[in-house]
Amino acid sequence: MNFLDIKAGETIEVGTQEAYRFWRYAFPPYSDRVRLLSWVSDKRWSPHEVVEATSPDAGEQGIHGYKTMDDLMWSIRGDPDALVLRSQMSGCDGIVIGTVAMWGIIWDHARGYRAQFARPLSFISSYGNRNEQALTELRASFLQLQFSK
Amino acid sequence: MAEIGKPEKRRVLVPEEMPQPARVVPAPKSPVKVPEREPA
Repeated sequence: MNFLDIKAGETIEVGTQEAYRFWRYAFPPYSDRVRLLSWVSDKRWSPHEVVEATSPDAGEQGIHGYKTMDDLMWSIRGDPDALVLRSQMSGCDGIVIGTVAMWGIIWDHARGYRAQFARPLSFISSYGNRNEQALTELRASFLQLQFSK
Repeated sequence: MAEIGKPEKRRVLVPEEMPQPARVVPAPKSPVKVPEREPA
């Protein structure tokens, strides 16, 4: 991270912030590996990389996450299947819900966070085409690795 | 992602262990042999 982003007198906490979020997933037609994509952008999350967002100090930028699973469910009206339809309109196969570790600059919001850096910590549930296969493959490829930036 | 509510506070977090490179160069299987110097 860029330590020039830290303002004079600001407290620096050691650790990461856990948050809940959802992604889109897609099975490419000629590939055997499921792809993980952000919900609002075409950012692809790779098993070997930490994701860095535009600074959360700018507008509504940053990697978004919810404080609790209840906050996430409240946001989607408790209906993950509605998100599946929207994901499929963008050419994806479904959605997956999980947790991330966040760090860098973080903006706390009432129900969630916007962060500079994140990496997946867990994949909890999935909805859509071949959802069980997607969940198994994402867990296998993302959760036993070290990350680089 | 939407509806996380109003912004409340800015924080800076530094992970206890910074993420390490994913590519690790494997150690040699046998000790590296250093050739002996030839007598002058």
